[in-house]
Amino acid sequence: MSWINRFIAVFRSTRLDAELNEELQFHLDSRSRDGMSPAEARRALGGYDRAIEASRDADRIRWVESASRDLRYALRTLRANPLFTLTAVFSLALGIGGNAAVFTLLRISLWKPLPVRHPEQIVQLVRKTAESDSDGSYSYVVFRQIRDAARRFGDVAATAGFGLRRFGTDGTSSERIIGEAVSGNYFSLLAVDPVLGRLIGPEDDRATGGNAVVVLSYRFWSRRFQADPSVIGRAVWYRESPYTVIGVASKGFAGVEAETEVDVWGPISAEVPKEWLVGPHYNWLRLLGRVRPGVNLAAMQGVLDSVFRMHMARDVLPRVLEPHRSAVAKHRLVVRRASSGIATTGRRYREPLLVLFGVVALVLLISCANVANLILARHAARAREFAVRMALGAGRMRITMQLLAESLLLAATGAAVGVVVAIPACRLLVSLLPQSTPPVAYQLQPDAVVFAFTATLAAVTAVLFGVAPALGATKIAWTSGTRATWRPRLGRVLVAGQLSVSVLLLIGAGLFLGTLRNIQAVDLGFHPRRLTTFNVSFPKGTPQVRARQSFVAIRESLERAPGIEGVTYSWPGLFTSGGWSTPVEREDGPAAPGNQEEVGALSVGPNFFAIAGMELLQGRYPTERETNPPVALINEKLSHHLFGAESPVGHRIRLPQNQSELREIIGVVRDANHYDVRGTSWKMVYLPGDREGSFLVRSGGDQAQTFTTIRDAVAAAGASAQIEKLGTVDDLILGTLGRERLVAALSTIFGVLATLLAVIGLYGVLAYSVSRRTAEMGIRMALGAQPSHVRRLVLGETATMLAAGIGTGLVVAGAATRLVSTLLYGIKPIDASVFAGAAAILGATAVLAAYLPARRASRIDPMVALRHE
Amino acid sequence: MGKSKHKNDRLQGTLDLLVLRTLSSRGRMHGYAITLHIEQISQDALHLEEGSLYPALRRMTQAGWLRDDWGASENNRRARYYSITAAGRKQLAEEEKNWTELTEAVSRVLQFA
Repeated sequence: MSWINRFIAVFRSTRLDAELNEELQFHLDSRSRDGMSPAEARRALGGYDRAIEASRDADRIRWVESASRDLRYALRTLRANPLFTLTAVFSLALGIGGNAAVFTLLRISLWKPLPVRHPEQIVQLVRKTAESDSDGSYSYVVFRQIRDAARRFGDVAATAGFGLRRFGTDGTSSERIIGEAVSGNYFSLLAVDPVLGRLIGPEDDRATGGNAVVVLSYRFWSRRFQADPSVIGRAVWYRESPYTVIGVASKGFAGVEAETEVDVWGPISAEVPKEWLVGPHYNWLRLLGRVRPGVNLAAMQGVLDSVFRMHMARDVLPRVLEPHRSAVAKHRLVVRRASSGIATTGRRYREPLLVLFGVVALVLLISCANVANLILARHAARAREFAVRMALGAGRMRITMQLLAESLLLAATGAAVGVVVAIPACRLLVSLLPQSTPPVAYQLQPDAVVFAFTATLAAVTAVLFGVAPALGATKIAWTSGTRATWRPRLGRVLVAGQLSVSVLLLIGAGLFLGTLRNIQAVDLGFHPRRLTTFNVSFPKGTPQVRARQSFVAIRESLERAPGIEGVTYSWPGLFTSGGWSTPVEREDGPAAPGNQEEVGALSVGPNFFAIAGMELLQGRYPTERETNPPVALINEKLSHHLFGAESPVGHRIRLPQNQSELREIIGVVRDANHYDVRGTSWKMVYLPGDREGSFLVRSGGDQAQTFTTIRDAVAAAGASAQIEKLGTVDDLILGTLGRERLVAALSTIFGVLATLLAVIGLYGVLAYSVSRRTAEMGIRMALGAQPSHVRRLVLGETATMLAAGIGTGLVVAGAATRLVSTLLYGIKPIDASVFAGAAAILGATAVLAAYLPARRASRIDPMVALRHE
Repeated sequence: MGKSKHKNDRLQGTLDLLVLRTLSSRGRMHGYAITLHIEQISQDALHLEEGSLYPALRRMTQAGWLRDDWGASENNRRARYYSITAAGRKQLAEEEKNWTELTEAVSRVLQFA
């Protein structure tokens, strides 16, 4: 391929030139050896230089050569101005890096195809629930029916989702790994191959019970067994039972959720009790499908949804009570494309991530404007260089190209630095996501797509900040010859633009911070400060009595421990994802329809109300272990609902789904929210009892000391009790605010950053303008202008830019903030104080930045200034 | 490589033909030797434009018809030697065919016009 050779030749030009010279010199020397005079020999050659030039052209491509020469020249120019180069590269790295980071996260959490064959054929069969924004799960019974009905479209497999599981090889199971239970056709549906042995097949997963076999992920096999092939057939302990390792899945495959790397797969029917396989009320499976090419998804959804709803109507709904029934009756089966897998976390944070993507794009725009301004200022200083070169015959195109080469080089360097910082930035983003079990663990590696994105971004930015100044530069030189003057009109427009984007971002930050503040200020009805919670679990098969003893022992030893003010427990725990809701009715029968409405229920241990800090409004707290005769406390809302203005104390209620025994109401507590900060508090019933759930510890002093005390107490209790989910209630609450915190933190960071960049841009333009106008200022002063007058001149220039920038920003924000209204809480998209605050902050910062150049202008010594040129 | 075949450029084609023919019959030669050889064979009837020989050699090397390497000349100086490649021989056959057709056509015109 000759053009490739010629292309390569461009980069070896020094050597090639030397070779050509040597070849022609040899020719001339040979001529004179054969008796020709040197002059004659040169004439015969028809011009030495022409021959060189023509041979050189034959050897390489001319435009590539000039491009490479431009790049080398640009490199030299940039190296000669390190301050300019560093500022520009820093600006661009920030902008490009931020974009690369958010793009990487979006790609990995939402867009990256699963490492399986034909990922575009993979779909998820989502159970859409009306009650919550999270998807529901399916029972094993309905899975079999859906699977049978789906045969003509493709195949459907089930996964039970994953969790931390116990694992071991020496008869104990002390290690915690991530396990996933899958249906027998899971691997064949995904078209994942074994590296070793075989994968779970239909014969391992039968409705009558499955085989106790496990498949290891490639990474787990490498990490835990050092990729030992003899692991096949080995017995391991998994979930407290002996299992046999049958194979290792293909390298790179780690389950269908990007945020979790599965270590071990087992057959679903082997992992669960029998009744889960036959009861239509046990919902624990998520369904994935592979559709044949050309299948109409809408038709498939229609068929499967009707199968699902028929099953619900026949086998499930008759046993569900009102008003739950009407909600469950609205459940639908939806077929969704899932080439990137289930992407739970990605879908949950999709909206904030897209907002963030917009924010970083705006920051990049500001970076571009900043660099364009820097370049403009530099071009003004180089106007003479351009004019001279054009006078000597350089084409306008050549100079423009050469300036663009500089831009490209800057952008490429910025992008390179940006990619390097993108991955740590991405990690930071992920660490801001709320804690979950198992923790979110994305494989954050930039891939070809990320690199391509960044490269494109670099090219686009180079054009954005490079073209206008480059064209402007030659225009200056063209029109005004060697006496170039600098008219910073473009610069001013750019600064105004930067200021308006900054206002927009500051307003966003203000709104999101306000949202976070509003949510955190919500009165929960109890005091979460200094409350620590944890669960205790026992190995399977521990006798109930033994577990009970340990539980009591832990409680008693904690009560005696120094620094602990109180110990109690509740079931379910506070701010955990699971809740318990149950219908409640008055003893004297359902007086009014709706009396049976679902209310939240909490089984609480001794002193729960005092320890949680809940206020008693009527009646009394239960005494220690008051369970017989059965009593209950209710909150204001439920009291009002069941008894209106009447005092409920002394009345009796019944929980028809739970033993139906009558309970006497002994007290009313203030409304409290134990589930979700954003929601309104539920109607609640509190049942004093000894049902073991999550411990709740109020402590006085140091939090770390409290954790140690708790760990020691659990370790001392014996029966191989294991501590789980140890943490403060405050952290649990914060965990539920992950989205708000993420958005608030990032919008603030980027708002401040954008303001900083814009103000630097403003300062740059003013400082440059002042230094270019030194002579003018000097003359004004010499003619009697006061320093204050000169100062006003510069500040006036600022005021115009500020007014234009902030004005535009406010108008744009007025329209744009509506786009994020779903992310706001307790604050309107157009909040006067936030808008005013953002404008004030930016205005004050900008005036501060303008003051320095203004003061310098006012201190110009007329004599020095006049000698300036 | 269709683009490198210069179908219409007779003059250049002629130079290529002479160089390829020379290298095909005489083997590996340096530029100066090629110049001398062509002058000698044509008995100075074809006066080679020496300045265009070297660009032509570079061009034909890039096109893959020639291979170049450095070696010692008769008087022990470093010189660039050229030899013909398989692709060059194919090109030579093509050029010879074109040339024969052209000269036959021209002589027919001269005879019968």
